[in-house]
Amino acid sequence: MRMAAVGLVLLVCGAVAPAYAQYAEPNITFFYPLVTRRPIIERELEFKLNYTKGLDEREIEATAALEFPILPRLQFEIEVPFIVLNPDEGKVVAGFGDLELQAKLQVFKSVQYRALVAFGLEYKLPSGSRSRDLGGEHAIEPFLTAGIALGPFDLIGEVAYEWLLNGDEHPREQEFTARLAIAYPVSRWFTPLLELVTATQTRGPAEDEEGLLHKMQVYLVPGINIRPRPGMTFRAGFQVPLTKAKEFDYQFLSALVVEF
Amino acid sequence: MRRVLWLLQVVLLSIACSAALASAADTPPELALTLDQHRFSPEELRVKANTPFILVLTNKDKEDEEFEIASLRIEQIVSGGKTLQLKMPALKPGAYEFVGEFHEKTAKGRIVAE
Repeated sequence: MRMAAVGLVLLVCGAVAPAYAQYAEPNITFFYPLVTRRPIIERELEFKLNYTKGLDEREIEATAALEFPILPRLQFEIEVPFIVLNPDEGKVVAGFGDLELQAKLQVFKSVQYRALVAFGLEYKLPSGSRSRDLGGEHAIEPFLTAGIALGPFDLIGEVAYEWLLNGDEHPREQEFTARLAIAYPVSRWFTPLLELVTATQTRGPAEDEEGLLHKMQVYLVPGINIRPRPGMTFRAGFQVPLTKAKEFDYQFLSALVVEF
Repeated sequence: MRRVLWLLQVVLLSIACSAALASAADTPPELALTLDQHRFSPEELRVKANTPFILVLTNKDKEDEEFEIASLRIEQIVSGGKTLQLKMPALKPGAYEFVGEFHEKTAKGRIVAE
């Protein structure tokens, strides 16, 4: 008798549940920050071009990235950088840098509150030549990112922690990064944005060239998003240090995103 | 004691069942929106404010379209020849412009929540 009652209840509840399964929640989207990761599941091709005025070198990095969802809430990304390094002393070197693989899982979506949360893991392969200063880092970086629309503003925040794994060659560096991006979409075609980035090396060489261990680096990144045509977004901006602890003097960041 | 436990189970299951049935009864209203020859029909949808609804979006065109409500940050690809049933949030009173981003000149309209 008892089993029959339980069975009946489960049958009724089971019949009701699929009625909801047929409805999909629409996707939520936010602007494209320049350095902060978005909590959005994307299907895009991205072409980045960055110029860095370093402390003792100038660097141009051109990157192609493919972002593809394999499930509605799970996305994979592969990123291939090509680097041209022009040191103040020595010859110009060029070549492929470290290949990056990333998995991102969206764990929360609220259309009602226009909010998203995702976490992920980035894996850096030491494909770049370490002897030529083109990379050679083997690292993992878990991250958590969240975004919300508050009135006319979009806010995206991210925290990440990077571990260098090839500690025999490098000191086992670890770095905590926190980023906050805010944007005001003026129109569907133009969005100015501002990002605040902090990075703190929590473990690494005590006396390296920049002396960054346990010092918080703070950067400001003003920038823009422009949509030249549907499904395409161009973003650009400058990353400038606000603290004496810094990895570079300034950085110009740009990217063209093509949705497909 | 067994009898009490049995009664408790029946009560809990009844509550769960009632909740499920109540939810079913509260299934939000459905509103149809069709895209044909890169135009939405109807171009204005009226919904009850502060009440979620289901938007049944049909793309009769061959090409994919991206349905976008910028003020709600909603962007949804609707493949050509497909129908989507979208769970829309409760909207505050007001007008919410939408477009088909790939054919924005013709594919546009608005949802009025009142």
